[in-house]
Amino acid sequence: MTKDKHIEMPYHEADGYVNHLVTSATEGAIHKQKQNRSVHSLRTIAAAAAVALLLVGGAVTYYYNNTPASPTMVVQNQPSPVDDFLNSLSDEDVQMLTYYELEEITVE
Amino acid sequence: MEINLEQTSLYELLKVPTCRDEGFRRLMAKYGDRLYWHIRRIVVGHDDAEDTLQETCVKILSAIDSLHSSDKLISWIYSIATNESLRHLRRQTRLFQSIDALGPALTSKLEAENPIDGQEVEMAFQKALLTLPTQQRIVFNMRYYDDMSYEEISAITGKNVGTLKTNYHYATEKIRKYINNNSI
Repeated sequence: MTKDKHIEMPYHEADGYVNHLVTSATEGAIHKQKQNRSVHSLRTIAAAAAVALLLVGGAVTYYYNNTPASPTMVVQNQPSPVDDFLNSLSDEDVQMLTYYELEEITVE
Repeated sequence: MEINLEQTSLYELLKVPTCRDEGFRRLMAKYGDRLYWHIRRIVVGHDDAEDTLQETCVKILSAIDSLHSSDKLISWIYSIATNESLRHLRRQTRLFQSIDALGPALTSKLEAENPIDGQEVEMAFQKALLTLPTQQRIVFNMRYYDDMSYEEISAITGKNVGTLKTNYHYATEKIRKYINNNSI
């Protein structure tokens, strides 16, 4: 591949000017590539941090949701159905219930 | 486009991340001016050529990992320069307009940038070139100005040699006809 031209082109750029353009484009591309690498690194770090945060958050949520509550807490927080029933009784209801009390069987 | 030791060493430099910038500087120092003129002949405008050269450099540097053979280094950078030039031309077209329809606009650009008299033959020749379809014009430029073989042009454009010969033949016929019709 030679640089000889059969008919010269009507363009006027001198060799020095073209060399300057090439150098400028070369350095510009290298600079842009470095910038892209930095942005890429930052994005990678941010993505890794986001993933780590999600994992830690998930682990903490899982831990709290799956830790068994103490028996005392169960008693305090979850009254039995019998307790519910007794608490819901009014005084009249309690008096009514006494009609159904069985008499003591005495053995003579 | 001879394959030589320098091309191999450039390739090796470009493939080592720590030496890539230096390898790229050497590559462009050796082939940058040819790439510039290749681009300039396709996009015609000086500012367009400058922008396209910049885009070409960025693309070469960012895509260097996709190159897997030192033999193809030069045809590869020419391919990128050609594609970036075509992309630049496409940006100048209107919706559904072919880049082949840009001939008159490119001719106006050529005349605006070269108002000096005394270059009638060169100007007429360039105007004749701008009447060609873009593909034929690119093939003609590479054959005529860069003295590339059809095989080298084939490696750059991806077209087969027979198609390229036909393109070149039609291009020379059209240029001859244009020059005869315009009595130059």
